[in-house]
Amino acid sequence: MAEYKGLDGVTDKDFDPYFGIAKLDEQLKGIPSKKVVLISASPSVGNEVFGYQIIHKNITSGVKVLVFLNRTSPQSYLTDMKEYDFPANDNLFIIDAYSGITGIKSDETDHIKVISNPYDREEVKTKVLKELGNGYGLLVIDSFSLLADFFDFSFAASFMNDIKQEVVNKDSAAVLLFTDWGYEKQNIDKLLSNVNSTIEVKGIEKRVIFGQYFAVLKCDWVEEKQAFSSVLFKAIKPGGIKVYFPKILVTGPTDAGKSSFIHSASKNAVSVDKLGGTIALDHGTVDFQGYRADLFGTPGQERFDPLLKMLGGEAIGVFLVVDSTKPEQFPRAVEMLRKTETYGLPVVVIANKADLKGALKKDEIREKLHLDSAITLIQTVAEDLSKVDPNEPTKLKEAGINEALSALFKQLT
Amino acid sequence: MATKSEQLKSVLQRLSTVGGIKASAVISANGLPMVSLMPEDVDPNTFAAMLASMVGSAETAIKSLGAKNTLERVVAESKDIRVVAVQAGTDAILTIMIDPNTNYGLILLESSKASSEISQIMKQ
Repeated sequence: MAEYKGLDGVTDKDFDPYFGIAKLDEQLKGIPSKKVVLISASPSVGNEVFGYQIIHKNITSGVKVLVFLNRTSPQSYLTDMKEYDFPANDNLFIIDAYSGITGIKSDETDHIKVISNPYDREEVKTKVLKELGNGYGLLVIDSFSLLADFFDFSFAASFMNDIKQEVVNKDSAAVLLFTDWGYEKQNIDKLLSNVNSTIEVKGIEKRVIFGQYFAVLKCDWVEEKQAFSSVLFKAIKPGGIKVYFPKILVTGPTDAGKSSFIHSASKNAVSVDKLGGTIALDHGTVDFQGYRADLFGTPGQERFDPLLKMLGGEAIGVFLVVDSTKPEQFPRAVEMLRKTETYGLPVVVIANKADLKGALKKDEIREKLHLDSAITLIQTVAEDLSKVDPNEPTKLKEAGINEALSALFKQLT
Repeated sequence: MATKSEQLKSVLQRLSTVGGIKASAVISANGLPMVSLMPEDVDPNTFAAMLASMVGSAETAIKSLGAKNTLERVVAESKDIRVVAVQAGTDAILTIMIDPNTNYGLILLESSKASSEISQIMKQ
């Protein structure tokens, strides 16, 4: 799996531990030590993949992680993690509070500690707190709501207090996975008031967008509160949690390089094209730095204009591709934004063929397109001009593609 | 109350009991998948985008020929697969993949029933 760096290229060195989840790391800058994070999910969505991804991110960057497990057996937990491409390693330690419930005998190993009687609240508490003294950078509890179900909310609250105390004393941090099965509000509020950060995971059904989102409800170590918007995500096997944009439009005049952009940016692009020009649409899925987006490319020729409105519908952002050598097409480019009814959405302009003879400079393109100074313009070029085939999408250089993706994704979250 | 996606899913599940229907999906008129019952190797995102563009193109084509009513369905056939896309209100399209050697009449009947249910659910 490619190393996750975030859109700003934030590296692991800044803070430890990290979420390993796009957007969360960019907004919260990881999980500072001495902090407790609660991830609260509605039952239909589930938050276990958040746990897997956080664990994997940390064990692979050298953080010792302790997982308290009462939702499933360690074996099936690890198998499930692996299906998301998150294999375990020597930094992962598990406290098994599940096998004791099912009556299956579980043997202690170096990496799996067993709670012999999970019905004994004292044993649960003591064993977790004691183990936490052994130099862990992060404690993950899957699941904290099951603890409240098993015992009661007053136990959950006092246990949370103890955990908080202990992570402060030991310079550790904790992530508690919580599923909200419709508990009494005052119980929930009490738990939430005691954590440093709460992240909510829920389903969303807005018009034709059916999906799942997460949102930071609270975080006491980040100053600016204004940026905590909710973001759509997908849990992908393998790959884990990706911030998800269901539709990004790629439009622009004929032969500017829309199909080339989509094919170069995504792994699985498909085009409906005849004789080298797109006639219905291009579609491709992009995976980039923990983000996933579905790109919809329009045809450029005017005779396909009746399709543009359908293609632009529900898009949340636009890549406008223009040919740097053909300023005469620029009015058409702006017209396409209007016809796809995406004028005013976040847009990144891609000035393709920037290395060809006669290509305009960035400033000239800005001026001729009447671009607002806030709009990003990125230049792209073909990877190898000698391989340009008029009947096939051309492979564009990765640097420009990544710059463009990064610029638009930043605006969209 | 059941969520929209649960309701849509139950419509698809009922459809899947009709003989010959191999897969089905509800997609938005602008090409986003909403719910689907499809084999795992099919990418619902690409499928939804292509089907919606077929319906969009067909709509434009039929209008340009002077059709007075709205488009009802689009059918694409190969020897082994037949895909039918049925309009379900203004926002949604019901798509079904069927075995061409089955009772097509019954399937059309059932799918148009299902599409009107879907259009009701979308209006909620």
